[in-house]
Amino acid sequence: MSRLSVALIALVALVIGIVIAINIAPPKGSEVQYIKLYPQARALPEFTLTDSDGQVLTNKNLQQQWTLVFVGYTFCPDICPTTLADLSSIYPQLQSIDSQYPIKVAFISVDPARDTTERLAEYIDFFEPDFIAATGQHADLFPLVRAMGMMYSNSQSTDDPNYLVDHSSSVVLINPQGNVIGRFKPDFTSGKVPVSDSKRILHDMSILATE
Amino acid sequence: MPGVRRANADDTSDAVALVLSSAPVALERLFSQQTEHNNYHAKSFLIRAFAQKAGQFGYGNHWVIEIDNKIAAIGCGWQFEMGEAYVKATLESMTSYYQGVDVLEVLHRCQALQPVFARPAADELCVGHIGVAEAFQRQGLCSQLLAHLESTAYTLGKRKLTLDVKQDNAGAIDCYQQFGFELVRITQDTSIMSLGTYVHMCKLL
Repeated sequence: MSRLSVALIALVALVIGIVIAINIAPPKGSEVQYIKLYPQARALPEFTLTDSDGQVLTNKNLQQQWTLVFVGYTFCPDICPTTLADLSSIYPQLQSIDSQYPIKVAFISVDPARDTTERLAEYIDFFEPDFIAATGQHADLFPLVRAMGMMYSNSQSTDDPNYLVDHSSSVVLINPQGNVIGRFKPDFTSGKVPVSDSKRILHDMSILATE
Repeated sequence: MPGVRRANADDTSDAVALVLSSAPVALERLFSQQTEHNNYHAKSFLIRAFAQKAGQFGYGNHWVIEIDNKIAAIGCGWQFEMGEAYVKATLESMTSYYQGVDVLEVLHRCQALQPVFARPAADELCVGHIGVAEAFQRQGLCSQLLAHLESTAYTLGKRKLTLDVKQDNAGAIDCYQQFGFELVRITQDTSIMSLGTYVHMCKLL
């Protein structure tokens, strides 16, 4: 083979390589923009909750999957229904992300006194039957929510049947190892109910879950 | 960096301007009113009230940062039990400014805001009247004040630092979030004052 042929083949290979790199390789700059990543992934304490089917839910149930976790309560007048409605609106797109691990959404109620299994099931089915919903005792809930980087407290006496529960409005992300890696904070700029922006969640999840 | 100190009566003029800036619409709608015989202004009321030591608007309940002989920042903290003298002095500051039955309208408006600005729980220190003069904004004074109030909360054995802020007050919310406050509740004023939407924020200690 002549030197010219070798050079031509090398040139063609180079051009093909460049074309492939431009068209097939992931575009540069696809980095997460909105999630506030914790400096390092945090392990969750051992917990035992009960889900809306009455089944036990432990750390193991949040492994081998990506889980977007939101804490709240079914009597919540604004933050919870808005967040869950937003998350259900992006759920089909979350499911279509080509991820090695499935992407799940979990709602953890921090109001076990009123959020019975039946009520949780009815509530979560209204938004998206595939969402996980669970609650448990405060001895499990409080350290779990704190470890995720969130908080909740009963701001009013529970003697009043319509008491409100104060709770974080962020959505946190648990990785397939079952560790919390960061959170999406509420967006105050929209002028609407300040909750985590679902489009931002979708944007970052499409990158995080395919890395 | 200048330290945080207790306010005194000499601070009144600067301090009241900053207190007013912390919630201009709410304070205006609470304390300015026109009756048949009198014209009341929030600023005049606050100047009189701040010049006294005791009470909700008295200087004794406020902390300030002074820079170049100017009050650059102000804030205060409320707890569940403020004491009988505090309540009495707050009422006196109102009855001495609002003539006769005119004070009843002010008290009625204060009461109407209770669902929005709930009384702090026993384990909370609620931060309020946070104001930073325009010339001194974005220099960390808000965080410095909050840090001071946080250490006060620790000293008092509290477990939470809380506050209420107007939902559209982006600059303040930004500072509070950076300090570790989280949105935990949304409240809507449905009174005749129509103050709009507030967010209740909390930092666990």
